[in-house]
Amino acid sequence: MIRNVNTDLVAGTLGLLLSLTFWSLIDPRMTHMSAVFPTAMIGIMAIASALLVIKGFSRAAERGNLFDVGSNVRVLATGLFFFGWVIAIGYLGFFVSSVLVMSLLALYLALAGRRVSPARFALWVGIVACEVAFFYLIFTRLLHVLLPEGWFF
Amino acid sequence: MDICLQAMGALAHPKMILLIFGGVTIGLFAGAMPGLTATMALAVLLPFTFTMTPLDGLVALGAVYMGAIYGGSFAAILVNTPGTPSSIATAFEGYPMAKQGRALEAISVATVASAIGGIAGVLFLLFLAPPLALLSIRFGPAEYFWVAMLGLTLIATLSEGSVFKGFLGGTIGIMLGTIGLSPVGGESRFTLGIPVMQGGIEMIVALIGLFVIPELYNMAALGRASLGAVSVADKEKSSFWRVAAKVFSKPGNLIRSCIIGEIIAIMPGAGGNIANLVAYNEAKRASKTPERFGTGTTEGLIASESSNNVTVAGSMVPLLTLGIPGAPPDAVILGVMLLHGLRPGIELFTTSGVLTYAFIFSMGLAAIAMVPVGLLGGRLIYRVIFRTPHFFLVPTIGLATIVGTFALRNSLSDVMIMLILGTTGYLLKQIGIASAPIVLGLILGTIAEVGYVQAILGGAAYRFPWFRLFENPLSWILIAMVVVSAAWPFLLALKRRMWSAEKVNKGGAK
Repeated sequence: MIRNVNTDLVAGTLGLLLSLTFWSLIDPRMTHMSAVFPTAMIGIMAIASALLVIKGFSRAAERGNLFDVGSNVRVLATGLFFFGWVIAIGYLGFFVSSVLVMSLLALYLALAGRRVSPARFALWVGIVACEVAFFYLIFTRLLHVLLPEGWFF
Repeated sequence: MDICLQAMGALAHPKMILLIFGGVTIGLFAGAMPGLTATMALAVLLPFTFTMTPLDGLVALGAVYMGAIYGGSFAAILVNTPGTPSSIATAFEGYPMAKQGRALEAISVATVASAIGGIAGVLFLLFLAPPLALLSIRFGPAEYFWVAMLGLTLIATLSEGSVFKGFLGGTIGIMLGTIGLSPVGGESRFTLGIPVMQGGIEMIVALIGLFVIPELYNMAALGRASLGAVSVADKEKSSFWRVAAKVFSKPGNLIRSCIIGEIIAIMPGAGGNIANLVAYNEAKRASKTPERFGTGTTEGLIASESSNNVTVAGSMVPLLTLGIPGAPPDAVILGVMLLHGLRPGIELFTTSGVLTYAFIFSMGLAAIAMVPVGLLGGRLIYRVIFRTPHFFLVPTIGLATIVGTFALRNSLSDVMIMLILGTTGYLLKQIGIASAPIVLGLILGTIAEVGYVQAILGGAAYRFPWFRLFENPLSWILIAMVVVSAAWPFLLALKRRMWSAEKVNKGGAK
């Protein structure tokens, strides 16, 4: 948890940085019609951000605790699981990577509050495999969506 | 009258009833699945109608369409994920209700409001199709620009706390919408030289990422699911008759939302995705207790769900009369009609009158069928989600979002963008920038840009091309609405301040 942060100042600074980034990415060769709308919006973004920075220095500045809900380690790990899942799909295929990552994620989240025996985990892997197979069949057979292939199929 | 009776006769067949109930059920589950839109559901089922008679095909697809728009509310209420873009505002009220243990009440309210909206759309189509069709062709680029501006005034409503943070979120969404090829001119913008970024950020990708992923992180952090247990009292509150009485207790909200839904539905290209947001905003503006919005009030839920279901039959007005699809799913319906040799226009209501009216009536029946299907299906889905432990729920919802996002364009890059946006949304929420204004900016920014640029191009012959934005009486009405809507929160705050000052003065005098 990060305590007593001036969120107006942080949001305003972030907004100014974003405005600057978008501004620097406008190609000078761009036609007026393509540039006019984003340019106006970058201006509005910069104004809103500047007002937030000003408010951040005033007495009315909003303050709050960041990341104060539950376990931040679990949030970070869940994020890594998700990103790893998408990367793994490209190599292992949809089915294998989904069964693997979903089972491990379920085990990781469950271990926070209980003990999981190997037999129980094996059962979970089976349930997850059925779940993934259900989605796989719906999407490939019924909706004709070609899901990424890797190991096996 | 004779044609109408014949049309009703054509529907009085067990096969038709089965098609309607089957279509609504399929649509409901498709709509409840994040990433599967009503358009996708219709497109997937289209080949099944090839062997059907024209009426059977149209009735089945009409029922799927109605069910899919309504089904979006399930995911919005139970997992804070609008199943379709038409249910964004439903999540603002439905999910807080579910967290308070009022999930069944929220589902019942959404069901009744959706059914009423569906029936209202059919009535609009039956009785007001010709004048509404004339109105729909008056909407030009300038009017689209102002409608988008009207929607963007919602940012002030959606800001959790600071309005400036809301505006910052809105502009972030608008800028995300400008990534890719520009709509007029086709130039590459803000792509950082990455080829996949040329296609831009798909609205549904952002919608899923910004709403679902932060919720999954929350569940993982808390180590439990967010849904509250439904109490006995809530079960009683969710009974059909009590909910129907509640929905009808504020007829103004219902009527206003239906009218907003219809007006937006007749605009080609606009649909439930804008209607639910505008209706929600107007409901909040007109409410006596606007401060309760966002905490689980039924008013907002009724506004969102009634307006989005009006658009189903409402968007058929330009389709059946002018051959212009009012919303993307209508293009699929148009395809079925053309496939069976039915040409939109006056002939459709005369030569093929029985078929056309039977199709219109069938949508009304589909709206009614949503009540039993939705109430039963809603309870079933609630039980499944409530009883599933969080350590299964997080990966399962993750799976549904990944596969749903991938299916949009068969692209793993879209899935990666969805995750990046979701994680960014979670981090931004920590500093008070909510996801809702970002999504709103993304949806409406694109419409505003296209409208603006096309209006300016259309006014190229004028000395001041932007005069084109202020040319038509319809634009003036919309501008007035934008001004009132934008100023309303400040006027309300001023009024409250004056009222409290008056109260203090009176207290002092005593």
